[in-house]
Amino acid sequence: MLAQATEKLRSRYGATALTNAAFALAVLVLIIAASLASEVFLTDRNLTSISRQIVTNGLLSLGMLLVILTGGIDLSVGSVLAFAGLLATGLQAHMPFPLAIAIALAMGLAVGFFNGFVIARFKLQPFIVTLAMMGSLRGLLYMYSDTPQYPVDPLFRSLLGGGFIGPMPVPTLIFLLALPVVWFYLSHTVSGRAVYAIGVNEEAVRLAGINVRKHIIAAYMASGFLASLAGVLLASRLGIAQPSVGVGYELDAIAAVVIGGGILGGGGGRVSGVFGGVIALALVDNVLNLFNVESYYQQFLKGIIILIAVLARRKPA
Amino acid sequence: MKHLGKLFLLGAFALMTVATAHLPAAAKDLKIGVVNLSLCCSYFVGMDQAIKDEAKVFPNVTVLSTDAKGDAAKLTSNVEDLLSQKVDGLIVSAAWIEAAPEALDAIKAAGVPVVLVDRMLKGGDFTSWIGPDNYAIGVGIGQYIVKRLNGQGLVVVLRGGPADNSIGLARTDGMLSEVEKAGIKVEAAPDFGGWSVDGGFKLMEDMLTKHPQISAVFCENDSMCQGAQKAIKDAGRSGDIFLASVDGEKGTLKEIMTEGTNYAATGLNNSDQIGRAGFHRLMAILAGAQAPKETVLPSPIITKDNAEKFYNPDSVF
Repeated sequence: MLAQATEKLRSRYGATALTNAAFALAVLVLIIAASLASEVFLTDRNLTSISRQIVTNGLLSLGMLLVILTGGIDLSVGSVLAFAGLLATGLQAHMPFPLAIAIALAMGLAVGFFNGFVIARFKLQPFIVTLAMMGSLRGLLYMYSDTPQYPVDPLFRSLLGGGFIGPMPVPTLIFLLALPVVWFYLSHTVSGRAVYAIGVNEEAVRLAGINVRKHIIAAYMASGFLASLAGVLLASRLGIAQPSVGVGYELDAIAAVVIGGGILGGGGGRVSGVFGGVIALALVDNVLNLFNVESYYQQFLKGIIILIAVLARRKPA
Repeated sequence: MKHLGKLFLLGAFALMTVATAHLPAAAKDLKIGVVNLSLCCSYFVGMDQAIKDEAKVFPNVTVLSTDAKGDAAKLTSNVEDLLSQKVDGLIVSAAWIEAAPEALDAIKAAGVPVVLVDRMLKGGDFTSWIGPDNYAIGVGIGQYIVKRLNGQGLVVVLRGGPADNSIGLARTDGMLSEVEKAGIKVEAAPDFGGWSVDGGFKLMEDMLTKHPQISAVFCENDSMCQGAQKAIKDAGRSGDIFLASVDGEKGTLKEIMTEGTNYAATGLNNSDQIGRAGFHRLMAILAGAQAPKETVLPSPIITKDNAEKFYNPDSVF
């Protein structure tokens, strides 16, 4: 009976639409269950805290989505994030902070350009190129600063990390603005369409006379830029930039993309799915904390939850 | 007569107020949050466990413990999650990060007391700190090495890292202050050992190859020296190299007590003691006690002459 019903829906809306709807429903159920089970879940303080917590992984995941769509991967985002935070806070001693931020963001773009250029020009595996970048950049940022950097300008903290526009923390607002920008790029521009197509069949795109290299470089530059933006916002929120921050963040971003329906290897994934994936991961963290689940159980459960989410998205044979 | 009655009444009233003043305060439930940067290693697990053990004695005290898995940003959001749950006080074990201004500011804004254990955070206000003086422990070990070497020989130093870890730096600096004064040669391994047994093993292998004559090895923690000891043994040089480190964990104490060992000394840094002291410090503050801002716990140097006294086979660490 159920099988027939789902089959009907499938033939009408397609499998991905159905799994996406089921996924959105699952996130909604999680939210409702959390609000019923824990009296603190819906408090202002907790909601503000969740909304701040999604920013870092949210921005990294958007960049990761673009790169994964081309069939690549970007493992250097954690190092870029740490470096950008150090530059934006460390350079404030010598210049006004907006300029320091601009330099940090330019660094992210430059790293992205380098990644994309090497991958597209020399046809190297994105995994290895960005893994090498991840390591070298971490070494470089320790050379630049082996001690934490404190922001000099109090505005840097109060405007960005601690600021609110209405009830919304500024970093959250920046992330929420980034969502439609990336969505518009992917669904309404030639370059965005090309990014999808490259992940499906790079050769066909090349034969159609489209400059593949340019679009691959653009995807990695976007990833580098978003990672550096996340780093600046994180440093301003924590009130400090530490060289050892951001280790392992690339894995959370990849997880969010895949939970949201992205396909490693390219050609599949949506901004709405990534948003859901980021929310789901943040909720799981927050809810497990509110229920005082011991840390080791948390890690175990998180792994299982990711596995179930991916299993549920499996294409029917 | 009338006056007498009045007096009697007054006296009775006075007696009553005195009597009630000596009754214990009505029992109320207390919620205490423990914020761990990481539960990676037995040192920090032992501290967390010690706090829970002490709290178990009191039926109306609940402990909510969190683990940020080494991530400074997650530590800040864990603080927010605990404050959402209206904890009466917090204990923060920030391990290897230097500062967490946003986390401390959030605690201050919520108006709850916070006791820092082990790591004194910079850049923010806290109620009270209890922990070791890592520089002083280093000095103690340095004095031991000087006495044993008679101002001759080469000391190899194994550092934990990364470069922004000032705990390791303080230990090494303390040791160097004594050893360099005595004119003993020092050679630090170029890379970091990551505080682990395998890290110490790998670094020591390289140093053994490079230096045909080594008199002593100093490690920033016990684990690395346990690995280094194994590498020295494999190279057949146990007879001419002794080891000294910092922590006083169970395995090391047992080794120091073993007849004929070349593991000579460790500076006690007892996480169990720190955790218990931290819990009671917070309880006293919640009861209204004026606590000192900083309390340094004693860290004796342990050798084969006194190891028996400190060895506890049931300890976590």
